[in-house]
Amino acid sequence: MKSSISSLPRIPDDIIIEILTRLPVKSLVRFCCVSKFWQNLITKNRVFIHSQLQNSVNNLSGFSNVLLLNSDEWPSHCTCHENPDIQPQKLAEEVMRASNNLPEVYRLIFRQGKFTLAGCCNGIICLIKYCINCPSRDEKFVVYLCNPALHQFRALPPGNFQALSYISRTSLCLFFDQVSDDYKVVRITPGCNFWLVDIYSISNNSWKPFSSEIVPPWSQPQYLWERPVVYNGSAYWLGCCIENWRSYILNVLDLFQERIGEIVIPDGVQHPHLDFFQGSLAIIGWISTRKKGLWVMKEDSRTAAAGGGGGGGITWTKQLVLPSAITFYKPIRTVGVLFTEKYLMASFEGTVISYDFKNQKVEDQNGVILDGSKRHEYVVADYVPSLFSVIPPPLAEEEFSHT
Amino acid sequence: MASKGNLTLKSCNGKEFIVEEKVAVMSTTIKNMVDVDDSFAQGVIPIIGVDGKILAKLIEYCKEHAEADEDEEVKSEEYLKKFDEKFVDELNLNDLYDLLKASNYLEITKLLNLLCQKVASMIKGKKPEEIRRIFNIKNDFTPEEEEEINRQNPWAF
Repeated sequence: MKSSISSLPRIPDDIIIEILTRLPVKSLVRFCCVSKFWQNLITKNRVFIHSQLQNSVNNLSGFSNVLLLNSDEWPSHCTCHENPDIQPQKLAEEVMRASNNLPEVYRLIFRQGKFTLAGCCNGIICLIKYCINCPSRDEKFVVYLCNPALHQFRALPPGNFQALSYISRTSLCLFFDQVSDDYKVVRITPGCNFWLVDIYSISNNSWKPFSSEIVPPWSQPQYLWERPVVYNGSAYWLGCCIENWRSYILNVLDLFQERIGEIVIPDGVQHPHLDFFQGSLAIIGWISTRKKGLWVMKEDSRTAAAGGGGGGGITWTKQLVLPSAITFYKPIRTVGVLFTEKYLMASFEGTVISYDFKNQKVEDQNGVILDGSKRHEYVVADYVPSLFSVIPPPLAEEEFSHT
Repeated sequence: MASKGNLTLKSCNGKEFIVEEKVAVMSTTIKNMVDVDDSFAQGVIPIIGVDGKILAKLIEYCKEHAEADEDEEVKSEEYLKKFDEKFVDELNLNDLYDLLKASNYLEITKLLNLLCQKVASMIKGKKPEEIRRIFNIKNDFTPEEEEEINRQNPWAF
């Protein structure tokens, strides 16, 4: 039956579209040359591209389609000791080779820790290259966007703040802006008394700075504990107080109103990790030497509507306490929370352990072993292949292919 | 004349089917007709462009799913999944095509999804020229344009 499909009478376009939204990205790219209508639909029609992604998300199951990156969260520790000119080309090839193996377990491990994940959103991955030994300023710090499923990989223009970036402290995060249906990268560059913030957008292919500098409201001086995440139009990141290293603060930066604030995190939580749980922002951390808890953030809608921004009206609701059984695997470090409500942890030996919030079971992720190096941190992201291009529209034709 | 709670559906070649209302209203199109105009609920609902054979198939599908929606105990999710699989596997290509059009026109979303998924899995490994043949699509690219598109994405082939 499969090899001998005969011809069908003409099917209405709306049914064709319904069928195509259920195809994998690779088939769709191949079908671009079927006709101009198909090509436009697949490469340009945002409604189509969104529904294709939605169908893929609905079919997402288990541990497949997970992207694991090893990353050094403290890039100042990570120098390019082996090879000062990292070949982005090589990374691109690795990303693409892995994407060709989908839907098998999707793993990318960068052993040198030269690249840091700055977000993974709807099939687009943002990576940062830090290279202390690279000769020119612009090469020391490069932000890349890639869509492995489309074999796209490109470096972003440096932008005006690049020269000011004290690279080990600059933090970035990729996010999807629903209002403008665009993918953007926010860059937060700390200075001595103020911070500079600019936002890159794919459709404009440029960095747009905030209208003024941001003065941090720090009640206490702090250092960056974890990379930021973007949620509901604000960037959130955890800072650890320099003078009291057992105390943490959650910073919030409203990307549209350009306002910054601080949020107090649940009392006494150690080694907090900020992530998403059931669509809300959540903190996971140790509450005693043997127990970990998970709190979900709730924002008081009245304060938010009144332009509260700045972290007012935030409450934390404790959702669960992870069983002490997981401490059997100690010492373990958080890798992240998956869309499928699994909490991933990595042991020092590099074994991945997951805790399933739904059935409350601890599982060894058989066969998944990360780089054994104790120095590296790992981050995880739910990866779903998508048709969203990382190439800005006017350049689409020249730079589309990566060979 | 259907008894209370039942509707009569008439195919384009004159075959009549008496079905329970809950089965018929799996189709949003029929549901809207019945909701707006009470006379449809009493009389015969003509199903334009759908013949008896296809209408019987549609009713078979809707019956299983309407019953499952009403009582999850009797028909589990697993049972429905098996039913759906068998339902699409037994279709020949012409029936598949007719059912696609009919479920689109009658807005039976669940069935339309199932059929689209089936067609998608049938075509996902095909070559572009096979796709044009299957869907009767005219290639409106010049040979140069087509070559250019293919040159950009050699990995997809």
